[in-house]
Amino acid sequence: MKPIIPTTLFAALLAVGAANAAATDPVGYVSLGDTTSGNPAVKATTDVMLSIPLARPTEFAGVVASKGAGTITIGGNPGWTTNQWVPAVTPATPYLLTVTSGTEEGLFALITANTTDTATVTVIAGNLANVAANDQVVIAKAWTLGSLFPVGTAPTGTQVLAFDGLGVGINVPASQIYTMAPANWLQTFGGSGNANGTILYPGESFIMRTAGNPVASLVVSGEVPTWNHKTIISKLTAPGTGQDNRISYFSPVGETLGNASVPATTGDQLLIFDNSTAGQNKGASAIITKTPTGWLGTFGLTGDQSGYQIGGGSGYVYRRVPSAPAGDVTWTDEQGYILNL
Amino acid sequence: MKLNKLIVASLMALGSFTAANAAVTITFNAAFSGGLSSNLANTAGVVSNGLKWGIIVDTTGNSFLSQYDAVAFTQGTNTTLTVGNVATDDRLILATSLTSDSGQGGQALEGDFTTPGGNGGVDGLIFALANGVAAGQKYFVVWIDESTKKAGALGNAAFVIPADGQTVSHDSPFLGVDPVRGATNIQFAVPEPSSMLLGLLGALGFIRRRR
Repeated sequence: MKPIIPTTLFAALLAVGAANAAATDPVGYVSLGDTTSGNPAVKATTDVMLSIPLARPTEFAGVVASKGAGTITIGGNPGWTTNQWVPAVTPATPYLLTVTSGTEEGLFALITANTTDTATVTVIAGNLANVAANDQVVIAKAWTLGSLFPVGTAPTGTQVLAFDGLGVGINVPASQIYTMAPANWLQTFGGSGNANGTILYPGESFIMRTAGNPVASLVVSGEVPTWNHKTIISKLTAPGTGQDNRISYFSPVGETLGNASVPATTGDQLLIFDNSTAGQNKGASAIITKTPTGWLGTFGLTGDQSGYQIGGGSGYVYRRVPSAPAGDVTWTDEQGYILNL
Repeated sequence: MKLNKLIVASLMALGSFTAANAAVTITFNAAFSGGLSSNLANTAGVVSNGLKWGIIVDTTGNSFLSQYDAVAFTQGTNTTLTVGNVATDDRLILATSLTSDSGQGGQALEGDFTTPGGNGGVDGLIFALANGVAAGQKYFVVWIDESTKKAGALGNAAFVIPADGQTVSHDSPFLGVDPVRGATNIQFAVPEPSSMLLGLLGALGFIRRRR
């Protein structure tokens, strides 16, 4: 793990809130939604686009000894108990294994089983083939609806609209809807039942939708990621059809587009949504388009937008240009603040 | 500056090329903030879970008919309804889910925090704006009793196809305790016995010739 961040440096870097620098991992908090002073985080009858800005606390750190087909073995005899990372509890408490060094830094995977030293994983973003011996890994709980937004965080009836990434084309509507009930999150579209254990992955984005009552504040506390941002940008069809991806940049603070290493094709667009305006199903307030030489504001913004900052718990739509080939591209980037840690 | 204009123009062209791709999500339950659908029943008037359901989109605004030709009620499909094998302006979009308990065993209540959901509810569906289905068109919720080939139909001023990409809740018709609504409004034809009989005779003839 990276060393302690001095409190003053951390505050200067993140500018998002007080930091607890007593531990070895940098921690902090981030306000989500509408962060305009005096405004609620989510106005009544309003959508805001959100994402995960911080990791949950590290519960294990180790080094890769070897890898197999869907497995990673840790060196040094970590002494795990069987299925320690897949506890049989309800709601589910899923764990993520993240590679924090090496070629595949930023790879994260859902742990589906474990022995005393080997985790069976389902990779969410990254290529397991590139993981090598001596790469460092950490294990932490995944963010879930119930942990990111505990009951009472938002008024009962508040919804989270999620996107499964399988919707072809542009302007893709929600595929799952979760509603805050008095005792837990409840899936109300695309499935049913207690949804407290539903995973919210870094690099994705989702919508929080209020009904008649606003959400006063949304504050996320956690560990500052000290490993690369990594997510998948998909194109589900052959050239001819564009593709929307609900994405985010895994960072508590903004990163400029010009420094974010977006694997963009000319014509790709970043759709930006204004979390400070009221309303549901809001259209993009601004669009930034990839040009052969940079990023250009083409709606709501004009001129060079290479300095536009993404991250900090906001969500975006990344629209792949119709001419792009079908398939996934992996977006990996080292957050600028890591260089100062 | 000139270069930028050229780029913008070409990118705008790309954008318009993709505009045909569109989908919407419509839900019919708004737990703790609006209405919960319930009490959709079979032809006999028995509130039922497990019924196939969907919407009929009236693409030209002339309402729906009381009879259509036979339809394969395949969940998740979008079908042009026909009468006498002639296409109508109505499209049947079937949900991937079945009617179910919108209250999820008492876990969900309506926005008054008092009215429960119940059996015979419909959650929602996601579909493409394609094949003549477009924003602004009216639709009816339909639920199907496959044993009688009859469907119930519920219309409401709120039932209008939303704009491209939107996720909307059309729960308002389900506010309060819903009346029991039977599957009695639309009759879908059953496969004609004559055609089935012809097929059977043909098969018999084939078997006899082999002997």
